[in-house]
Amino acid sequence: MNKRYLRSIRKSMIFYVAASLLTMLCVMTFALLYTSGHGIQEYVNDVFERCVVEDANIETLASIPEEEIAKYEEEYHLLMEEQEFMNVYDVKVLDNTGKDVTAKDTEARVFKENSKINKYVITKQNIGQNYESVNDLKDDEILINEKYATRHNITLNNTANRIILNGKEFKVVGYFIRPDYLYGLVNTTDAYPNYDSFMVAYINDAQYDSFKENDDGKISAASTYSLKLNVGGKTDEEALRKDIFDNYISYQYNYSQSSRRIRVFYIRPQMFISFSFLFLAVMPVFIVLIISIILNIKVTNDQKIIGTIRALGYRDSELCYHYSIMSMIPGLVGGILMTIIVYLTSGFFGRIAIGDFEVMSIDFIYPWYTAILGIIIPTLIYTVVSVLTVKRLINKPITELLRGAGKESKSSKILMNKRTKVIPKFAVRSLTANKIRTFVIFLGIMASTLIISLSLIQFDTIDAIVSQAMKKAGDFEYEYTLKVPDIVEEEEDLKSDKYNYMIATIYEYDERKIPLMGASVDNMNLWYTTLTDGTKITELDENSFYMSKLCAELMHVKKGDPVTIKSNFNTDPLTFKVSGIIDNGLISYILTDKANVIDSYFSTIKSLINDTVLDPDVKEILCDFFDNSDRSALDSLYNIVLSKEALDDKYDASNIINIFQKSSIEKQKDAKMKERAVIIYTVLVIGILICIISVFTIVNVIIDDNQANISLMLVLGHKPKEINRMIINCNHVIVPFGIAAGIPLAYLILSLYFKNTVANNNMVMPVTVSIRSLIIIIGTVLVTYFGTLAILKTKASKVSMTDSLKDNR
Amino acid sequence: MLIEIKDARKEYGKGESLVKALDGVNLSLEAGKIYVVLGPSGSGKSTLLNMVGGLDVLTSGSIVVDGIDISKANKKELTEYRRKVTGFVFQFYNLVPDLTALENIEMVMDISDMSNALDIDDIMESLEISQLKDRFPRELSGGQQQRISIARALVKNPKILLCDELTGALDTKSSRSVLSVIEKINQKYHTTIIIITHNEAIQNMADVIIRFKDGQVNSVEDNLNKMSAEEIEL
Repeated sequence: MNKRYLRSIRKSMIFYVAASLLTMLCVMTFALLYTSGHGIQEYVNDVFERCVVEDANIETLASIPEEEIAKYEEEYHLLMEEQEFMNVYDVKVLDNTGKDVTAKDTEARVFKENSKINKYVITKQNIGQNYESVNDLKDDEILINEKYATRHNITLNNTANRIILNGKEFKVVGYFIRPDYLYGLVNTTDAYPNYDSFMVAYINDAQYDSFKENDDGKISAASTYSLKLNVGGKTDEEALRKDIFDNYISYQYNYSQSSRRIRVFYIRPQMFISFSFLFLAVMPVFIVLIISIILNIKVTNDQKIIGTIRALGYRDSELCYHYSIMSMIPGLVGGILMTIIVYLTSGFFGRIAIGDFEVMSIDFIYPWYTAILGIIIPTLIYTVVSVLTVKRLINKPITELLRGAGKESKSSKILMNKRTKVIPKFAVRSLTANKIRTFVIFLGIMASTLIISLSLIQFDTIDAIVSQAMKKAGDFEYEYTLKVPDIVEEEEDLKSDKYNYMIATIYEYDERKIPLMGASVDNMNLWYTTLTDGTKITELDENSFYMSKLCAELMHVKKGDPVTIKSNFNTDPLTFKVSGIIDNGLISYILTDKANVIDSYFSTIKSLINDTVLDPDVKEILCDFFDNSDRSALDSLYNIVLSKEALDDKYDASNIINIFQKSSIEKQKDAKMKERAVIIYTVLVIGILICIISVFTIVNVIIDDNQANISLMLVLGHKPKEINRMIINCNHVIVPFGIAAGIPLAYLILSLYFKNTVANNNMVMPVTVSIRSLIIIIGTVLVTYFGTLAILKTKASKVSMTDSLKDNR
Repeated sequence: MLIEIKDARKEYGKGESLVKALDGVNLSLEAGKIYVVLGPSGSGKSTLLNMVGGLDVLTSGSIVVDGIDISKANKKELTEYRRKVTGFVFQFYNLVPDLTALENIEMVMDISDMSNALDIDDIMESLEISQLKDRFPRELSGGQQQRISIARALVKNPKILLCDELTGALDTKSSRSVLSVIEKINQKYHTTIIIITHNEAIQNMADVIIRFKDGQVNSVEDNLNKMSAEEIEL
């Protein structure tokens, strides 16, 4: 019996190779995605812990003295540090050859040394140099981020490269990372990183201070207070915020989770891991099922041998053992191959997965426990299937096994008295009488379609979202957000179709910032105001609170639900009922009457109005509103302008917090595509491979199953084409059903997936399938299917006429 | 002559494991006769049947059937040859289990030259299997299956009917019945019949008896005391 192992394997080599490859592929998709996600997560967690990444930061109008910071730290159990930086716009970059490689509008964000929170680490430096702090830097030396350096042909130990800031030359002597700048976003709300015209840098403190002292308007210096909460006790965050607000007029409280620079490291690895589990749930179910069923067919086909062996006196346990050993092979070989390939390629794949992050030296190691599970689980399933099949056969009488009799079914008599040719009769009976085999073909096609669809439908969904985003952002091209509110000077501007003047303040819900946007019905033609029921907003009053679809999904509320949100200034609550849902799943905001925003925005700092840097006219309008309930001039108050044209010359740059250009949404799409491209393409390739291997395996099983029939047909003079028509081509009819089942299943899976990841994606992603993708999916499956059949087309004619007739005996 | 075999050789393996299945066979077979080929296992009789049937090709020598040298034919030509010239009857019937008796016969009709084909009902009646036409092979006895197998081989009206141990798996009664059918076919359709067998008794119904030994023709003799299938003692 032991000799039979090798002989059986040799005889069914194609099945064992294909089954092992299928097992390998399906676990490999999980393994590569998981290893990448896990690797990034471990690295970032380590960096975040070592470098003490901030939990939040707060921006205040007045600065907080050092002794007060110490007091806050003690009282509220936290770490607090002022983080100073300046943006330098007069930048020139010379590469290793001395060539000017400065991109247009290059900006350098230069930090002053920080030591408690968001600590930097010097990752590489010139040979022989051993700096531990930025204050070890000489006056003409600079540390920059490695990604910017490599993008601009700047390497270490080179004397020609230069970074020239405001005319002052610096040599690049090292690279650094900071936990809050591992993703090169200029602003924390940006969608895509910029390593072409944005660098981060450290110079020594003396140089930093000298830059600030000699500021001639070419730099903009800023500072925030970074917080690490719950240090040596629980931080009462709400009390802390009120305390800082009352004393130093905080105007922004930013949770680290609301900064995309930090949040991306929670989302992206999680995305890889959740995708890995999605594929772990989907692919092995199908692939293991396919292989298990084929094993079942193969063991069942061995029933004559099983009958003979039993007749010879072998025990049931010996038979089960014999077949279980053979069934373990695809699981073991596939699992081991998968582990080796993942071990060899995880570094390469991981580096692709890092993609647009800062340069990170991550060891992508496939966790040993998943490697072992990846080997054990399929092996165990295949073994159990074989043992169960053998047990089922053992229960049959030996005489029945020796006859090799199968169950007679009604479907095998289909078309019995119909006057049609034998070929179609045989074909139809081949499908109906071998239901399990037919089901395996269906499963193989469905699994391939499903996997290919999962990748292409994602492309469509992202693509559709961008088109929607362009539409649902409104009819403006530019959106300017001002730091300090202003008033509309010209009365007719308020009625102009070219500009919309809105006022916004920031609220928060579950650590997510939500803009509360105030608008006038007469002046919001550029804003998207269509509700989910298809109607448009025509009225805004003090009870109107319209929520965007994304905001409603994130807060799990619907029209008519009561909602309480907190002021981002001082955590004061605001309660209202949702008046309706605006059909915009891409931006989270609440739209209300302008007076509501002004009321909530300024009432919180009413007593401080006179202390702020507000324009005197603005102050007057506010005083009229608060003291005399005069709302007549409120419409002219705004801190957001929507415009069809650029208004850069109209506003002082220091008063602009953010400029949003609608066409940048296209770039957001590219960023989103890049994020997912690794997954999408990997899955696409694996889907095609699975289709090829499944079809290859199944067709081989069909030919093996029909060896006697094929041999007979050859002897009777049937041509290979006629034999293929009877034996193989009959399965073509299953292909449309497999495709028809695979696409909706992919749609369903992705719908569920996107529904459960709205918070991570920060957008509602309605699954979209384009005609183009449908054609590609169907085309790919058909080409793969028929291509594989073309490879196998001579297989049937190679069946030996003499040998298989002998076998038949 | 319908079949001319000249210095036919078929070798398997190499060196020490070289097996000469046919070792210089020369035979001339006439149309319309019954030939019974006898010989011990491994003597080369089945190999000869495979070669004449176009299932395999010679290592050297030639086989000319009805003017066609099948030893020089390519795969495509051999398929056409099997399709038009020969009919096979196997020891274990080799019926397609998913097809009824009638459909097993029709599957040959589907690929045959209809102008030359015989009437199915006529054949089924001759072979006394008309009542079995809607039964599946698993529902038939060995003898019934063998008669279906003969009908399948015969329906295209082949010039040569090749029978490989056609009674090997049958009891005496069924064997006699099958041999009677073969005899009837020869008389009715003038089909040349080559029967490979271990059963010495079958030689009595032959026109010519051919004996094989060690891959060579040991003897070829006309049967002067030819008996009918009913008369022979199986």
